[in-house]
Amino acid sequence: MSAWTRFLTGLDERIGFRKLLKEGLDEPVPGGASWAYVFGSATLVVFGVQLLTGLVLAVYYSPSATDAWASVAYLERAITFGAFVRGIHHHAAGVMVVLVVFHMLQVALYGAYKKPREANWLSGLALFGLVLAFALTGYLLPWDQTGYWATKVATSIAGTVPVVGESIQRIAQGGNDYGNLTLTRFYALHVIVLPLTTCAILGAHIALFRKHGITYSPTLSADAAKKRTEHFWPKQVFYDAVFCFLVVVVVVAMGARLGAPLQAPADPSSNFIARPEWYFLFLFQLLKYFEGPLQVVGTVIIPGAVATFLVVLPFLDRGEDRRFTKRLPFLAAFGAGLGVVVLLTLLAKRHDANDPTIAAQQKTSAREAARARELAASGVPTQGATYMMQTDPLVRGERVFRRECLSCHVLEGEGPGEPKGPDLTAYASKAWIRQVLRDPDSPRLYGRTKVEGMESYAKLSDAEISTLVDFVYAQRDPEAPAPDERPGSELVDANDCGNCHDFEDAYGLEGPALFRYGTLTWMSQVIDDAGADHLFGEMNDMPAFEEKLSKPDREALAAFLMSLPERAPKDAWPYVDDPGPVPSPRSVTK
Amino acid sequence: MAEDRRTVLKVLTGVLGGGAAAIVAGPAVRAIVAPVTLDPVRGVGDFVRLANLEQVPEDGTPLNVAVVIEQPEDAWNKLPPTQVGAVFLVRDGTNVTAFSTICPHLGCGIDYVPDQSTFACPCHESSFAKDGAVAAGPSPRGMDTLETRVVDGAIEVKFEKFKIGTSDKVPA
Repeated sequence: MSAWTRFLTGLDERIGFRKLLKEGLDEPVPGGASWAYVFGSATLVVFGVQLLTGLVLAVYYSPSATDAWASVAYLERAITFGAFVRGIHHHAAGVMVVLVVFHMLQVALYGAYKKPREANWLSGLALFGLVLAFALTGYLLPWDQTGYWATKVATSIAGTVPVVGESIQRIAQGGNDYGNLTLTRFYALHVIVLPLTTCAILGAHIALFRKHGITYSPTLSADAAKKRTEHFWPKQVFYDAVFCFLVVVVVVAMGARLGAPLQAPADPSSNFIARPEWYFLFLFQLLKYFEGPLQVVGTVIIPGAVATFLVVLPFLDRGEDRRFTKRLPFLAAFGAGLGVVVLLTLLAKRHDANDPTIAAQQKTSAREAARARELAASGVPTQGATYMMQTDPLVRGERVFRRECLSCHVLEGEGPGEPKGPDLTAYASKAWIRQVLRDPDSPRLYGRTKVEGMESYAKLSDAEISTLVDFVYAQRDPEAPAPDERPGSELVDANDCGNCHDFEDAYGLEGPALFRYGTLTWMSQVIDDAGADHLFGEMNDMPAFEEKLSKPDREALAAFLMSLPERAPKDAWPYVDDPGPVPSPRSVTK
Repeated sequence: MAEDRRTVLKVLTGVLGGGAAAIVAGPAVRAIVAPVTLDPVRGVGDFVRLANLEQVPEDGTPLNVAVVIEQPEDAWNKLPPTQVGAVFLVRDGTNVTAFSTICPHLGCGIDYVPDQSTFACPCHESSFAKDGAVAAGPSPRGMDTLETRVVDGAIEVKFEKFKIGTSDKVPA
């Protein structure tokens, strides 16, 4: 006897693992190993993946409203494999929902919930509920815009439950509103309560499965199944291993390639359009069909009815014969239910894909998310990530712009049907200046305003226009030579630009002074009072925002205007060329 | 033949299972042990202005001053000015010695006892002479001195932490 065998024998005498192994692996599989049985094992394996990756996330996570987002962003930025592991955790959650549904379908199709396996089925349903609870609680934890707003919808739905709704909602969110106590609560649920409950019920589920054994295909006769009996090990284990391996590879690949989304920090003052994860979209779509007092039908009654149907299924479908033809009504109900879920999901997807408001918001949120990460890289202030964003000039400026300016101006394709002011896409960039030189009275520029009198210089050659553009653009550069010593000054003279525009001083002629044109100061002056004598004077239509907006709002707006060239699509204007460097608005406002 | 097939299945099952475990567990473990090379707490190791020379008693009585760092960082946070530690300044003419208040024994905070003109650690009763040398008790080395310099009459100290419990003074 080799030392190793002696060791194993000795170990077995003490803990009895051989008997356990034999019991675990020698289980007879009537009808033989089958690919149909792999979904349960795969769900279990993905649960293991979630425990492990979840541990990594928990180690770097801080469940507080000021810190949660920042800690997740830190994990993504500073920890080796942090973003990767978080990506796995995120995608494995979705894959787990899919696997559970397939597992359930297989069980339903085979009639495996029938007597005496009712308890298997019920414990399975409980596990399905737990998987959804995991998804729901986990979605909030990063405390980003999507998690915050989508989860708010979910807890509000809980609030619509008759009689006890409000109490349920308060217990779920930890009081009257979302905050620190919501996160600590969701965190405790997600990492302690749900995993422990899952392990306990999972244990019962597996024990019950072993007690009753596998339910072979309803297409097999009892004799045929018995004749083809195989042991669980090794063939079925091999099937399970192959499928689990593929699932893990898919999940890992998704984690590596796609990562997990992290939107901008949750901001209760924003008007974010909430969307749940894709596997909850059908519930979300269902809400749209019930209005006013009927709302509870979509939020509670229909989902409750479906859940009840699933619970009582084994007690309704009692016939001994498991063949499909004998159970058509139940299979049809199952199929129809699944069909409706798929249909509702597709409808929700299609609606969002065709909604320009959603598309515009997705652009804005992607930009805010990127900005948030950029800011967080140099440390999040202790007031929290939301504060960090709200006090950032670019983010604040864009919000002010959307509120105050988008009713008259167009920006990057968004704006009013009948704009009253110029299109501010890539405002004051070289491309924009070039466009003004070529066609100032275009309806996209000053054509719809009271500003008039400038002629088109499209008659000049492209090279001459470029020289003029560079000349005007250099007005913002404090290092540039004085206007009369700069290339292009002869062209400016030859075309009498100086008759209407003052380049050397803020002095009003027929047109606005272009002294320090394009600098933060110039932008601020236009925002404060575009009707000032040295700017558009009597040709001005725009309100003086000095009286309408606070100073920080106006400063943020000016910083935002400065950032427009950098973010504009390259084909925003027909003659776009390199918009040139723009001083960073953050450094300017400091 | 059937036995060979079973063996192949067994080996393949092991390879697939091990492979799946490895591609998840590898990165996960690496992420958890990341702190081995990570310094999330920043603001230690720079010279910090502590006091003016004339504020330190001329008779050599130690002055306990707080070390305030302007913008320390802690993982994802940048913090407002924060006290991150304390230092004893002892003057001898125009020379100033700075002692860390962290006891080299096990990291407790050292007090100055004016009656006995000694430094004492209340945790395990180490005591130190005014020059920082061990006078009594379990401390394996004397109090840690910190690098100082005087800039325009202001004392600046390089605030550092050292390994605890060793007889040699090594940066932590």
